[in-house]
Amino acid sequence: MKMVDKAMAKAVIDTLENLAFMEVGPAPETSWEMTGQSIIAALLCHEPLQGEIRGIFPRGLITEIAVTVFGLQDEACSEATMQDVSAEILNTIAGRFLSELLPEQQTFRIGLPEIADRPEIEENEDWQEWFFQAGGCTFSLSLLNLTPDVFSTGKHSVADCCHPVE
Amino acid sequence: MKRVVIADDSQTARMFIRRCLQIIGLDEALFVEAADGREALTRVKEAPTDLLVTDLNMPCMDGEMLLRRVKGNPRLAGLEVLVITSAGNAAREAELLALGARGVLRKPLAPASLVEILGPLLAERR
Repeated sequence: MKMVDKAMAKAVIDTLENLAFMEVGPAPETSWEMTGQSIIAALLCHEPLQGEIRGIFPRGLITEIAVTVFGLQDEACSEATMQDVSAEILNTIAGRFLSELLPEQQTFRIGLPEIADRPEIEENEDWQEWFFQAGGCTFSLSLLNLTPDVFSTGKHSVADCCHPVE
Repeated sequence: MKRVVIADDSQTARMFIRRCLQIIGLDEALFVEAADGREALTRVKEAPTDLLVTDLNMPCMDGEMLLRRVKGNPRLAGLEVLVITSAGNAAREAELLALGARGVLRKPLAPASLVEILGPLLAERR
């Protein structure tokens, strides 16, 4: 497995299992459909890697997490809460991903997560996207324009280090 | 009753930290929340506080500056500060411990890791 795939899978699994007690697995790209019901969160990596990490989360998934964390009823989740949950999930995944990917003694700096409105990838952008499944929803994480290049090592797939989802 | 100030710009993170602290035995504490380091500094100055739990990456005043301000203030220097961050690694953790943090934990937070660091503190202050 490529180191970057392994780092992303571990970051996603650790985050959702700890935060919401959810089992996470890989998802095929064919199961993915971004709709207006998705929330897009993004944050910038500043040092030592530069680029953007983006998460696209279905509202169904975010609602389930909000219900677990806040003990709310589904209907009590405001838009602000949904956005805050999405941003915090991405923030946690991003930090975990970089600490998995970089040497233990390497410090890193990331920006504050923001809710984004730009789902499209521009033609000239370098990107890699991973798809995961939790709570019956498929969601995606992407790295955009990350430099230096972290995609060029290893040979396996993200599925190798995820638990199977029933 | 113990007073705990939780500083994080995410309401979700504050709630999650609070729940973890309640699980490990601080269920009857008075929790005061702050959305950034500046607000947290105001909150710890306004009343005697047993524990400050802070994120690192926050607007206005980040967690490191908050830690420096607390430890640099003779009236607050004895306050126990726990840093919880998504941008943690061994080097960063060593820096924060040298600045006076009682512990540094990485997100996602697990109650067991809180017990490891705060267990003695909870016992001391009972």
